Amino acid sequence: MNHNQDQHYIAKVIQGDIRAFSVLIDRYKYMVFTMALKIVRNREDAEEVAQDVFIKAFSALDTFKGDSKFSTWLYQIAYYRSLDYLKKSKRSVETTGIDVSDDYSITNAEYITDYLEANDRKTMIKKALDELSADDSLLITLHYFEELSLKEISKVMDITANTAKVRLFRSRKRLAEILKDRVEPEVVKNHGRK
Amino acid sequence: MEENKEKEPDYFVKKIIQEIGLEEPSLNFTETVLSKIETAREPNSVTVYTPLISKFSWAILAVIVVGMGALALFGKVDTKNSWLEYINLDAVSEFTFLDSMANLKFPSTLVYGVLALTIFVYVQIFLLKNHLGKKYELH
Repeated sequence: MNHNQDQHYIAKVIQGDIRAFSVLIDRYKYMVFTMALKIVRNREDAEEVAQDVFIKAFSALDTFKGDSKFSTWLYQIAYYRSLDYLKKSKRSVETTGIDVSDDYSITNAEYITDYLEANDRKTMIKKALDELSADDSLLITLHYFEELSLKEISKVMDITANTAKVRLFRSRKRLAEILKDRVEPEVVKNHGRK
Repeated sequence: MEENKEKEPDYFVKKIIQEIGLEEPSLNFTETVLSKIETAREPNSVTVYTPLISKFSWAILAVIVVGMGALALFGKVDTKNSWLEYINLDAVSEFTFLDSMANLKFPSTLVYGVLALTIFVYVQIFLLKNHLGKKYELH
């Protein structure tokens, strides 16, 4: 989408125009920060990691070949920098089980989310996403928000496209489950009221 | 039916993910990154490598060494009044210091003390190595 525009600014930065890099930062800081936050789970640390990602990207910009999208390349750095940060602070990525029961009704969950006020809904969805493991939540955001293809995701996270597909399917299922579990009691509680 | 079941969550998840959007970093994020990049680009007098002995000093040293070598080999230096004459080299042949070492006796307390100290030093090296190794271990 912004592929050519990115190239234009990258060329400018390589020629020595540091200010041109701010365009790239502004364009990608949200996603990079979100990725870091999902993994390190702390705003201050995530901010530091995200800054670090851009500094690293800046110094390695001349090694960017352009055979993939700049965003994919940048997200790859972001992913590894975040993991490195965790490693340094001796924490590990939080994981959750992947057990998902087979029968779930997504239509129900959708109806239920419409039921909540928009703000409540956002908070709740965010919380549900947080309940997924960092990698799964990242996978979902990369695929559904950034609309990265499975191939691109596999490059960012260094997994095969097939693994990405399976994991995406599972985490999507699990997210729906979590939402259902969270919302249903509330709906039941309010159901009979007039 | 099965296909429908597959597509539905896809659409649903997309919808909610687009709805919550992305997290926002602090307002001055871009500026902070740029200023950090600029600071990193300026050569720092502390971190830039400067050799302890500059090339110029090396050149002078080389001239001195070569000069002295050449002087020793080809130079006509009058050696008659050499300072060597003033040193009593005969004393070397009458060297008795080592003979007196043979009669040297250490008190056994000193011997045990030094032995024990040596052992402690070696144990400490081992323990410290382990301790520091663990502290800076890479996972």
